[in-house]
Amino acid sequence: MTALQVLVDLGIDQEMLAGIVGVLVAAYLASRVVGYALIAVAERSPRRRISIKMLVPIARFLIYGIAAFLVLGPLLRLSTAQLLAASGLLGAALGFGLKDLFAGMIGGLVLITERPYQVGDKVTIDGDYGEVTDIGLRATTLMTPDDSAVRVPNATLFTANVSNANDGRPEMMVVVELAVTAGADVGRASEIVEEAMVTSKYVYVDDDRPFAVLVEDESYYRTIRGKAYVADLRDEFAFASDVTERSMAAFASEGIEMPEAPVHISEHR
Amino acid sequence: MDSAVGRGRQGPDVDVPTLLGDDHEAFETVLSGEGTGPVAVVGEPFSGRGSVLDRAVRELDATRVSLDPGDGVDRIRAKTNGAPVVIEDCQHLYERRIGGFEALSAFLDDLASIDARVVTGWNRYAWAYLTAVQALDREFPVTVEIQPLSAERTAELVLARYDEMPAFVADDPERGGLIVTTRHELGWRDWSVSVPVPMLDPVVARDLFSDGNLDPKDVTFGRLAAVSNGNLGVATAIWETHHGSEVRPSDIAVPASDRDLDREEAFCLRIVLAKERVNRAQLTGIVDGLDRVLGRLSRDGLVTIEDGIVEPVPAAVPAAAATTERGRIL
Repeated sequence: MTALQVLVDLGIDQEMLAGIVGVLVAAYLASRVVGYALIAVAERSPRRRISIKMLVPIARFLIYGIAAFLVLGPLLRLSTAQLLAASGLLGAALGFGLKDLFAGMIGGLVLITERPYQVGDKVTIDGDYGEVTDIGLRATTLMTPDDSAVRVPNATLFTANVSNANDGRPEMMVVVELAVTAGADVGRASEIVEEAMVTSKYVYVDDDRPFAVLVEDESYYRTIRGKAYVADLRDEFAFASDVTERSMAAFASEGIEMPEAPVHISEHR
Repeated sequence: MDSAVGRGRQGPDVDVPTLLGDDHEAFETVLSGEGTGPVAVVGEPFSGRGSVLDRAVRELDATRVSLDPGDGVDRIRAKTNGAPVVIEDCQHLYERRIGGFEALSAFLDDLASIDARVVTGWNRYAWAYLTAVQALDREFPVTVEIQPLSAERTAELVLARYDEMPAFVADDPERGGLIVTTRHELGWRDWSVSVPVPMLDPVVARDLFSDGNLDPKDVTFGRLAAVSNGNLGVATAIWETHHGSEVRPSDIAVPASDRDLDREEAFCLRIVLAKERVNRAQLTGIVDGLDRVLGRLSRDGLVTIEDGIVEPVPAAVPAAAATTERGRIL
């Protein structure tokens, strides 16, 4: 049986087919335009950037939902035989080929309602770390620090831990770690790291976003861990690099020695 | 014609109760000798902080110390002798670099041991930054802030500077449309198209909801007070930039560049805004590509550079503040 014959059996004539194609094309264009407009508005409003971007997947879900309703509306007026044929096909498709796709779409719906992360958040999902750039019907796209786009199926949400670094806020804490030798003036080194953080062009400090410097004594060296927030989470690595570079320059000029052997720096952020 | 901006960075003379608003009572208490501890007078650039400090010098018969870029705590120590002291432009006591808080820290240590009355003047943006990162506000039990002036007071004080009044004319309603169209690039893969995006003109939209019978003078100064954030020095500078023999409300606008500043430019601008006057050399180690950054800020009319000193342009202070705050630069 050809695809055309199936369509004829389902009662879809040429006019209806054209209407369905028109609705789908319109839905696609509408989702692109709405997405573009919302992102443009979000970029003009740094404080509400993530809140506005969160609307993008919701708007897309709504647009495609309306399109699905418009497409399926005429189709639902089926005879009993047609309904049985269609539901049989749909059931078989879901049961075999589209199982993962269906699970991904359910995951997408859970993402919209529970919001464990939003577009713009920095998250770790199943070992992949990056900024959420898109939440689609089936998968979430992460942009990694190396500028690779990782597509994570939304169904992963049901089986893997999700770590969210900023939880919908534009700011995020960045941890910078430096090591000094056991004989170095650790007090002065801590002051340097603190001043490097608070004088950075990327830093953001207020009562709810304080900064701190912690010192940890390792066996042969000491780790100085500086914690501060950046105003825009996209500056995470620029901030860490800025603080590290200027701290190391100040260490060198003040004779604070850093261990020569490589030390383990935790990936905790 | 008198130029407010030309009279120096202290801004125009305004009566202190007007400048301080609700904080005036606390300031009077300090001047009358009640209360203890140092006092901080905080205000925007060109907002008239100098007038408040002048009053403190007169009332307390105090020694005045005006700090300049590069000045350290030694300049203050040389002038403190147990008598009341008024220290102006304390934002010059720090630099935004590693090791840049030493002079400020020494000053705060000295402050703890001085028995005499000390009144200090601070730039608002520097004060906010130092409060966030150095808890500066804890060292000053009394803090008074320069308040925004009302439109009526702005009109009085600006017009008092001139012998001749300009003619105030209402805006022509036909002159500008309600919809302003801007173009944005919409791209997909290698393909892009310039799409016109219609937006409401806020000025025209606001006029639609007004009763239409407002005095053009009131509308003009209402707008001037709004765009200058009630800062008299800024309002005067904007007024001098735009006014002629005939003034329309729509003539009042903050000069602003069409382009968005990048992070480095906004950071540099924030430092200039916070310091009010800063040595170019001091910025060298802080701002990457300083020459180009300053060139672009200067071309945009946001800063001036003269004899190695970088200063904000008074009329552009609201635009500069809005830009740096949009970028959430501390």
